[in-house]
Amino acid sequence: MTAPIAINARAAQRAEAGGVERVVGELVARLPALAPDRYRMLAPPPALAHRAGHAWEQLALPAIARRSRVLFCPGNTAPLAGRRNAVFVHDLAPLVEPEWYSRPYRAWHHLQLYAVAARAELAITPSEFVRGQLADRLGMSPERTVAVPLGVDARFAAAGDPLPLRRRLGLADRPYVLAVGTATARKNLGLLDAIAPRLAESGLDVAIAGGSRDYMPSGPGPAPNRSGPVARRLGYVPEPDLPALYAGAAVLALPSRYEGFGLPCLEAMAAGTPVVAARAGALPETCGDAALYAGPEDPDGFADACLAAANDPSLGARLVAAGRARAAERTWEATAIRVDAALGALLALR
Amino acid sequence: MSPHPQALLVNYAALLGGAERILLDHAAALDGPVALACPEGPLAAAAREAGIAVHPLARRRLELRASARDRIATPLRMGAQAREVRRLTAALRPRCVVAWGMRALLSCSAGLRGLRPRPPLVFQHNDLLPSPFVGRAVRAAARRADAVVALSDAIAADLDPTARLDGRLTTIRAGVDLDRFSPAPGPPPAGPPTALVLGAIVGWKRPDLALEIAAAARTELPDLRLRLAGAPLGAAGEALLADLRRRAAAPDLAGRVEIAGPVADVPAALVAATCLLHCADAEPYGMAIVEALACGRPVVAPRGGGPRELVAPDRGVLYPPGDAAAGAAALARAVAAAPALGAGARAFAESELDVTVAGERFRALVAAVARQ
Repeated sequence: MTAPIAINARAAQRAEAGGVERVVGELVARLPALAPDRYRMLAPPPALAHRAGHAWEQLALPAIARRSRVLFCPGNTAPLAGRRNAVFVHDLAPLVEPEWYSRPYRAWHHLQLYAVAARAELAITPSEFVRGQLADRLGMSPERTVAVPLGVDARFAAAGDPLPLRRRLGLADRPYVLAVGTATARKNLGLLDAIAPRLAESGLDVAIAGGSRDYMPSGPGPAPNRSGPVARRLGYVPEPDLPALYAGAAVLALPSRYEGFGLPCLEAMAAGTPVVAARAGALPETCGDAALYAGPEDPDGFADACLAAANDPSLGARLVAAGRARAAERTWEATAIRVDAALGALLALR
Repeated sequence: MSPHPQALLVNYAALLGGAERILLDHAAALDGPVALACPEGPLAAAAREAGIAVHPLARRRLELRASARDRIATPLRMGAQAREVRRLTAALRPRCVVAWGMRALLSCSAGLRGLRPRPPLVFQHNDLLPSPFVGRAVRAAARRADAVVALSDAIAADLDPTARLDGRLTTIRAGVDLDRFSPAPGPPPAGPPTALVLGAIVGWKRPDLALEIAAAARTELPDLRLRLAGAPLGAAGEALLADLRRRAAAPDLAGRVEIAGPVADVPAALVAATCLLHCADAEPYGMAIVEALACGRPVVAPRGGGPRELVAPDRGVLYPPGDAAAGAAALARAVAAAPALGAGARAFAESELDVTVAGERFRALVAAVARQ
């Protein structure tokens, strides 16, 4: 008998893992283990993991999945005409600030989001913040949405000695404030260039880990003729190196203007690194009282918070302890169990 | 050990209701010794049993809406309680004072005014504001508190609709002991489906609506049993109970409703039921819902207030407040999908409603405030 739920595993095929790919990878690995008879995995060849895979997703996937009662798409996109879709909606950023994205990207994702709101049987979101936005901006009934927080892998809490990695990346000389994220306007990484001189005066370097995407403009970066310290771009850092990169940092800074969850904050907390986050999007929900906050357009506030977290031992210790406790509440196992339960309830209620 | 308590918790009521159970859970999580100021009664007894030093307050009637006499006398009684709190605070010198509920906030806020040294004040807010007049007083007092903890986002939004408490207001949802409130091993209970209504027999909990929902569900769920578990509160509760008994004897409900009175073993009552039926039109939070979810039982509840935050389609079904027909349809859906929704309920509770996690968040907040 065909498994009742087909999982669209296209995003799990991508070599560079961002937040969406991380979630898809974890769910693709864990859901079948929870209920082997309930799930089957559908993925295109790796060559179709990115944009070339949209046609596969829209045309081939519905046909391949037709014998399953539900098609679960954990990576934001789903067949537009599908009426038995359950979609993991990671955020509504293309709708909230269209100018952060290229014209084709935002047009495609607008279409996707409106299709989810109109036709999906269930939308799973990583936060109550995104769930609320689905209701407020797209009129999607809360009876069709569930918020399931993301998890953090145990390897972040057991990073080991970060020194070898710091040496390899040239970060061994001075403590550093770390940011992790793709160079896009949404991530607001230019703020770190703005505060880098002030942090440098206090002996702190700034390092940014993350690649770039051609369909997402990066927003203002450092001025080309600028002299003085700027944030160091490390480029894409492979997954296995991330725990040590977090653990070696004095502070994780996430100045995003919008986040549907803010996974780097949770990963940094697990690694015992104090977090300074923007008071924006789902970040306050994700971080609670285990982070310091500043407005995403407030570089002075961000610099003050980074310096306080790095230089005030009692504050730093409080943030580390609260962060570890918060991260311990969130595991991928629990995320998968809740997603499985939501999909099980959907099957039972249909 | 410090001679000064980490926190002096102040509660105006003597009874041991849902809010007071949360008080005891949170008090157990605090660092160091804790003191409780409340009138003698079940709460004081339970606190002593838990090793909390109790400082009895005079029992006072602090009702504002019951009668004209109350409207005049209550501010005077509150003033007297404020003086008691002030004396106690000066004597104990706690690192922080936690006002548990609106009445305690009003007396603590007045009692601590001008006190030197004045300990920081935390306001634990457990209810929706009862009237514009009380609302203005509570909002003004909340602005003088150093931190405000709301039991749900609905309570937080009701207290602070214009975000004037920005940075000082946080929501900490109360949890339950997930070992005590847990699903029974093995298959779900056999026999006809049973919807449990859990809570005091009092008008605002709408047990009358539960009966109408059961009556409206008789076509889709002909063998449904409705079980009302809870004690009547006061004379009005007794009168309501008599009305409920009369209604339950009507032909469309006869033999299908059990009015069980208070139950000693709440987890057992939940596990024996197919689902929890909740009917209060304006529930600020819903500890009965939390307990049902932890026991792996789906919840059917009105779409509003605390239930809206606690119930999603992976663990229950919501219906428009006060709508018996919609409630009956929701009940039928929940019964049909009970095992799957129950699994979602328990998964949600394990992820979000662990009493130790809620206690740790409260502990961390009080510790941070006490350090100020």
